[in-house]
Amino acid sequence: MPAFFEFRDIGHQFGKTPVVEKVNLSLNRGEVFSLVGPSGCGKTTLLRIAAGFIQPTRGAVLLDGEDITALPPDKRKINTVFQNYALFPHLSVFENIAFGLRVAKKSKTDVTRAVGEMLELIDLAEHARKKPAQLSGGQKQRVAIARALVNQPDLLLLDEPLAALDLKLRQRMLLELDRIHEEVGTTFLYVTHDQTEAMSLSDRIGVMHQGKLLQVGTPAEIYESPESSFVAAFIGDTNFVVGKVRRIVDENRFVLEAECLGEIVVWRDKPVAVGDQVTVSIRPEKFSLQKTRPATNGETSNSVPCKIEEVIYLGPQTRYWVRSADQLISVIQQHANYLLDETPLAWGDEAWLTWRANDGFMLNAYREADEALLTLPDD
Amino acid sequence: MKPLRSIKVSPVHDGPLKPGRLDRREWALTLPTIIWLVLLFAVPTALVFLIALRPANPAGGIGEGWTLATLKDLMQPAYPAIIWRTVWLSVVATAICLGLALPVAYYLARLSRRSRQWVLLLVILPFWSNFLIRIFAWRTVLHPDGWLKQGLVFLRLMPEDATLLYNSGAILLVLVYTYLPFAILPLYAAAEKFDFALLEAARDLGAKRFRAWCTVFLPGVSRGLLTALLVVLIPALGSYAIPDLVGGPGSEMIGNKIAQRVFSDRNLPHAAGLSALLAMAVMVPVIVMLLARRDESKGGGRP
Ligand SMILES: Nc1ncnc2c1ncn2[C@@H]1O[C@H](COP(=O)(O)OP(=O)(O)OP(=O)(O)O)[C@@H](O)[C@H]1O
Ligand SMILES: [Mg+2]
Repeated sequence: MPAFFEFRDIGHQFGKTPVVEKVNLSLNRGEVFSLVGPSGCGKTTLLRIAAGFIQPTRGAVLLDGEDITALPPDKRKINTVFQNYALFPHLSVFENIAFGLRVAKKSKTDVTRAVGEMLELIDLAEHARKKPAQLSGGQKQRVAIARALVNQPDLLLLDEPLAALDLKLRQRMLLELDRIHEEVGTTFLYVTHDQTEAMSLSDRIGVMHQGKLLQVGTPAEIYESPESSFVAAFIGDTNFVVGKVRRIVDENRFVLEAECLGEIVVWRDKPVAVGDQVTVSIRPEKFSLQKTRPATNGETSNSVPCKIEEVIYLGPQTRYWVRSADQLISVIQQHANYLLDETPLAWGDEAWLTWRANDGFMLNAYREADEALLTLPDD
Repeated sequence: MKPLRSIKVSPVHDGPLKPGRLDRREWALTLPTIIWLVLLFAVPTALVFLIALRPANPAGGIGEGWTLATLKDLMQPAYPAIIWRTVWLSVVATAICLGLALPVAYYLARLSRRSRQWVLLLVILPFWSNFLIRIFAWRTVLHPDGWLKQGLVFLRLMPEDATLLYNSGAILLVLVYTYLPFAILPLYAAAEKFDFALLEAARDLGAKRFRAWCTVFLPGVSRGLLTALLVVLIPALGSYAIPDLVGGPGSEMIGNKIAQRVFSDRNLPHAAGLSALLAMAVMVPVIVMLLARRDESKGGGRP
């Protein structure tokens, strides 16, 4: 089956600086796809290429099998929800939503019906006569969505639609977006730099960095098996363990001579050879922290002594910074019975850090610069 | 009849004015403006209206008592044609100015900050030389012996006996030339504040370039458009120097008639009557527009 929407080898540069490089991406009909990446990585540029506001320097954009690269924005069955809403200030909510229908010369009854349906969808029927300036941020956002959906586009582009809202409202709007998507079934291409937003909303995620699409996958795939240190560090938090392959245990495991932690067993999901330089990513919540040395089996799990350097109580869990040999490790522990524990781990305590071989993932690409993305204890 | 140009047309408040009392600070801030308007606008206007009700003094002054004779005298058969010419010349000149200023303001606002400064400088460059000198320059350009006329005749684009100067066409040209910067500046100020993402939103929703421009950009700069309209139309209606210098005997405007009544006929009440007529012709549409705008910002939109 050909992809419903496709970026084929898209490259773009403003002047001499390349902003988007070699992006290949296919969207399935009806899915919610999120592009995430730090500020300036080229997300908006890619979205504007999809909308038709930017002609890419190279590559093609395909919609439903048809090359639309040369089509102007008004000829594409693609609509956009702009970052700052871009509602027409001189038009009422009703007329804002009706704009696309009026341009398409729909009959009066069609307009009234379609706009009415949209107002139902976004639950703003009683605000139809208001001007955008009289609406709250969340309401404006909903109008912007309705306005973009009223023409029944094949693809809806959303550029950081929730960025201007406060946290609580953002969470409500996420649920709202999810519901709207369920009702209309349009394909969503959603851009955000907030990874939790992307994780909670999307069927699939693409992680962008410096103009390149690094990895595409379901939220779980991206989180559980990041391919590069950037993806591992940008989506969620993690620890990097660097070392050399010492020996291969069996087809599933190998022993890593880690620079700081000594010999540890690591899950072998990719081919490695003795002597290879390898980086392993281990998520903070995969560890378990104990006061006494656990009886672990050195074949399938690891246990190292450590010292607690910092404890941050977060409510549902506690975040620890522990040091083992020279490595600072971030650990998150759920605690069902924090108060029942009469001697909780505290600053300066000695403890044991345990994790299973398959809790860590080998990365294909590691750059030291990505360490900067990790959460560090404040000094 | 120049002072009318200084009417402040754009209200300071952006949103609907809240009915209620001005507090002390607001009074302190508005008082100078109010005094200025009363002394230099309301009082002189009232004087003009009052003088129109006085009899003329044969010595060139104002006579004793009150009379309606001057007003009756305004019903001269020559006036309707002059009034009609004044109105159409001003309206057409205003329309041309706005038509030229809109795209200029649009492109100015889209230019990069640095090149914008240079173009803006070009727009206000004419103000560096005196208004009358510029009109005289036009006289030279349009003169029957001037290079423009000679060139056009040489190219057979115009017959030998036609004239470029001393007619309504020349007045229109110089009116547009003179008032174009006054139209560009308020429109540019409005266009600069315009959110150009709105144009993209319109295009995104299926509007072609021109349609997006008309349905989104024009309403977006409507305040600037209104200001530009008044700032050009009002002084154009009261033009005196331009028709006097580049117009001919058959293309007089009210301004010329007023001047003639003052300087040649020395009939001040009659001149005052004409001025009052002109002032009313200007003020009525302004007041209507301001009222319309207030209504608009008061009520919500219609669905
Ligand atoms: N019109 C332009 N001219 C020149 N450079 C541009 C232009 N638009 C964007 N850029 C540059 O291209 C890069 C990518 O910009 P883009 O807006 O796509 O980033 P983004 O991922 O959307 O970032 P953000 O999360 O901050 O919105 C940035 O470095 C930006 O400075
Ligand atoms: Mg962006």
